[in-house]
Amino acid sequence: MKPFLLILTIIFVTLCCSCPLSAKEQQMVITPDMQFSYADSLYTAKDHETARVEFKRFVHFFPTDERLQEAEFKIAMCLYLQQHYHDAAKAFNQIILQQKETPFTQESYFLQARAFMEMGNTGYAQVVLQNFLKLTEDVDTKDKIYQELARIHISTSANLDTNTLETAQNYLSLISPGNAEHFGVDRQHKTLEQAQTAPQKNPVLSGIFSIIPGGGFLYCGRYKDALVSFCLNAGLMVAAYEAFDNDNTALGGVITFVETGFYTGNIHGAITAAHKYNKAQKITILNREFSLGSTLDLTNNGLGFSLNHPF
Amino acid sequence: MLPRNKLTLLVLFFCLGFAGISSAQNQDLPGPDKNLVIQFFQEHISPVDGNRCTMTPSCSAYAAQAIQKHGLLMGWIMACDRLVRCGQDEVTLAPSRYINAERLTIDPVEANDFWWFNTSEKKKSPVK
Repeated sequence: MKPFLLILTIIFVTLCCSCPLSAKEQQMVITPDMQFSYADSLYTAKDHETARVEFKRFVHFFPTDERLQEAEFKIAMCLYLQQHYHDAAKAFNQIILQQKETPFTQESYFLQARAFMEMGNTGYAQVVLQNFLKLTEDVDTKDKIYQELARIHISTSANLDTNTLETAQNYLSLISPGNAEHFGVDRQHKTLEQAQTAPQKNPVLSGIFSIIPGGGFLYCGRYKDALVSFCLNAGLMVAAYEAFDNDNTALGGVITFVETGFYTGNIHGAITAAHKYNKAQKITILNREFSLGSTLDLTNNGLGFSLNHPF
Repeated sequence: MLPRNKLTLLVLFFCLGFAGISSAQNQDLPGPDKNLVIQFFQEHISPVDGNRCTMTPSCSAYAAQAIQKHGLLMGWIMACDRLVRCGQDEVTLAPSRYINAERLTIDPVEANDFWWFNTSEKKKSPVK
């Protein structure tokens, strides 16, 4: 019995001594460096969803770390890159509200403006940049803001058929001579001038030509549309005349109602065709300098245009 | 020839059909399918006639969206305009995409009302 008790005691003592030691050995302490570099590696690997979670963990557990704002900025960037533009704009706004004079705060202004642009809010994008313009004294930053404001107006001009290229040129003129070459201001000015003087179709003239069905389409170079419009309208007009001539006033009324739609549709279509032609001309020229690619907005079933310019 | 009372009925049917369309546009979130005439066309005529529209949205969907967005008058005009342009020059001028292995020309309502309809009123509010 004695040796058994002795063995049992030895085992017990060994276990008591070894257990805390092994637990201690297995325990892992995550330092701020480890957490940040892990989150950063995910960010670099473009795993934005996980990177955002890990940066949030960093912000939560190490709120006094000097890289706190960088982590917050990268959270906002993850949202932006994931195309959650509204949340990204809110996250950038939080960084701006801290009012720290850091590169991340500066970039937050630009990226918040871009997030608004992506949401189609060009007005708010301009407000953000105009506010930043009032706050900053740095010439390089001001030049960058002018360039960005010009970019917004070029993009607006391509999207909404409004002539804001002149405003874009005005902003480009405000860029200091020191940075003008770096931003390629002269080249941009030339492209904008070419876009403004591009051959255009007059929408009013197109509408007037449409008095003869298909005339407006013909003016805009849409020959098939012109032929179909002319034949359809002529046919319906003859049908309505025949119906009234045969005392079929009700049938004549229905045909006239349908014909009125096609006739006014022909005028509307011709004016739209002229606007579309002008827009296409402008985008083709702007594409040479600004990589203004036509993209599809699948969410809204509409068309959008993205504008990229290498700085 | 149809008797006068039957022709009047035809006119009434025509008008009532469009009354259905115009009433649908006033609802909170009316889907394009809620327009009576277009719904009838999409459910009963189009399956028999065959889907031959080479554009997206299809002409009937485009008409429903245009009426929903701009009301009966402008919607009707835009729909007629679209019927004339369908499968013609727009195919070579507008961008396209493949849907169910079929190349369709993209021609939404926004691509045709951009010069007179301001969409900026519908933008989201700024962040707080």
